Amino acid sequence: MIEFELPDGIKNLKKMLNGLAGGIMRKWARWADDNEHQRVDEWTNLMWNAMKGMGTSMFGASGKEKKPGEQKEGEPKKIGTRNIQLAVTVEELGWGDAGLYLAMPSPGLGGAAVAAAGTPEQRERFLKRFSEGKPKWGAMAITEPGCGSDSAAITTTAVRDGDSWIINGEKIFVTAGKGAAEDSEGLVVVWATVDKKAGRAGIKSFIVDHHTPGMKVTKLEHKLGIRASDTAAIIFEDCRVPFSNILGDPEVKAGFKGVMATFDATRPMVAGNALGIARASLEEVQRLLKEAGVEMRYGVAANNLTAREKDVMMMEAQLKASRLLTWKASWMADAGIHNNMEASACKAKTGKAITWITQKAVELMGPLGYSRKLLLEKWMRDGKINDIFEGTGQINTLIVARRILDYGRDELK
Amino acid sequence: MNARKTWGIKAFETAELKLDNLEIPAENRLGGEAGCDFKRFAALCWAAQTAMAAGVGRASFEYARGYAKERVAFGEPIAHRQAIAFMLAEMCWEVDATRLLSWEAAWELDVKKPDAFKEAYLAKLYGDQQVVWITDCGLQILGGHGYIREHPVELWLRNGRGFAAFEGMAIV
Repeated sequence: MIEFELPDGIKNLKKMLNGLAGGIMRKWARWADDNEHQRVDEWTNLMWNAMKGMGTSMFGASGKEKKPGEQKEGEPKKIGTRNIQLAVTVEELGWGDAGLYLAMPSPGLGGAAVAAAGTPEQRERFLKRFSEGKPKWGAMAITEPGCGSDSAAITTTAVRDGDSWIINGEKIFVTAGKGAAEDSEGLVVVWATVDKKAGRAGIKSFIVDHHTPGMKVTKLEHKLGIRASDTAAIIFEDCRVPFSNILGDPEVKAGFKGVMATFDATRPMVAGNALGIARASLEEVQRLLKEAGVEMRYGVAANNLTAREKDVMMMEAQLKASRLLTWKASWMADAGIHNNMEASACKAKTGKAITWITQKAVELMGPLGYSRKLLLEKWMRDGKINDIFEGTGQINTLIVARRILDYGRDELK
Repeated sequence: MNARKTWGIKAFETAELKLDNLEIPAENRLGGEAGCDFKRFAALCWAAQTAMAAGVGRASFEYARGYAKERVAFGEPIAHRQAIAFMLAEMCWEVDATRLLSWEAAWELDVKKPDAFKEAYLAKLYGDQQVVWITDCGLQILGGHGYIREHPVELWLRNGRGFAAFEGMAIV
């Protein structure tokens, strides 16, 4: 039997998070947009304490839970709820404010990579910190000035030197990079090549602890949206990390596939967050129309709908379609089913849908939508990033296309 | 009663029916004294039609995918080009999205969720739009060969175009 019901536990969490998002996130949303890169201490401390109380398992990184592959043989296959819970969580926080969500102290994408690809020892060593002490951030450093989506072209190097790796290179567009590297006792996961001749097989990821000598934040970007979030440029200059900080298998072989697999877990979460922003826009439009006495007539023959009804209903349908694809990809991850194609499909679809939905919301409200009186124009700016980061819409479409055609990179560039 | 010629779904006869002071027994009333829940009936139809739209779209997607891998132009299969491959990728996830919307609406109707009527309606609006887009892409990928009747993609476009026109009456 197919079921679309969320478990009670997740429903309760959603309700609780919605209260938090509607209260404190919305209260600070405009201020944080106007004051780029400035931390909202009330939000930071509140989220940090809440996360510590609940355990960071909320963000899939307690380091304790078994991954599907680690289940004992003969043990009945269990479908978990970690990914679907996370998708619901990030939707509520995106609904509150996407910038503050990205700026909150959390293991972030770096922590997610450790949770997904780290050894049990690494998970214990690097993830425990996110449930104790002062607020901390985790970050993932992939993009370089000369490569974005083409992450196999990475030029940052990691050279083995006895019991250490020495990292050299420049990384840009690191979400929460300053929080992770300098403002807290966090960590940055850095992608680097251990053997340039080996191409993508030589790409590995390394965990670099906060304040490691040789790691320096050089710049914070000014952006269209998600301004509460710090997007950092980081330089690594003879940055030495212990040998055991390499994520996954140190051998040069199929390593790239390993690091790329992280995206199968994170892309549905980016989509999930986008759903929250799109929903906020839709609900605001619905609220304003209701106030103006305009009722949506569900059930009317399509040829009798007004242009406005058609727009609002299609916003709603697009949002639902995106959410179903996102939840499907998340559910597959929970069931231990390979979801590479579905993770990219939901991300590409939702990126496109949120761009359309949030722009439509501004358009439908006319000058009011374009003004700063409401948050609609901000949500349009915040929303667009979801069509770009964690793989642009085009890259994710390419991944889906290769999957359905059973093509490699030589057949479909 | 006159059978009407249609653009698509020709196997399914569409006729004009005239009722001129027709008397029928009272017990023929659908649902008896209580009558039938027409809103629920409409919602069930919408969920089913959305599923059909997913099926028509899927047929066209699968056919176009197979064709694009075989059809050679400029020395390689046309599926090697992003202009074709990206269309196929989007067709694929839109078939999936349409299917999931129909399943969710059907499930809501099964467990009698209060929002089932609205969900089924939104699913159908979405499916109506997508099936036309998907089957049009399917035809486009085959180009001139898709326009002639040797391949089924033109039939699926004609059939797909029908969904938005089914149930033209206002029911609320």
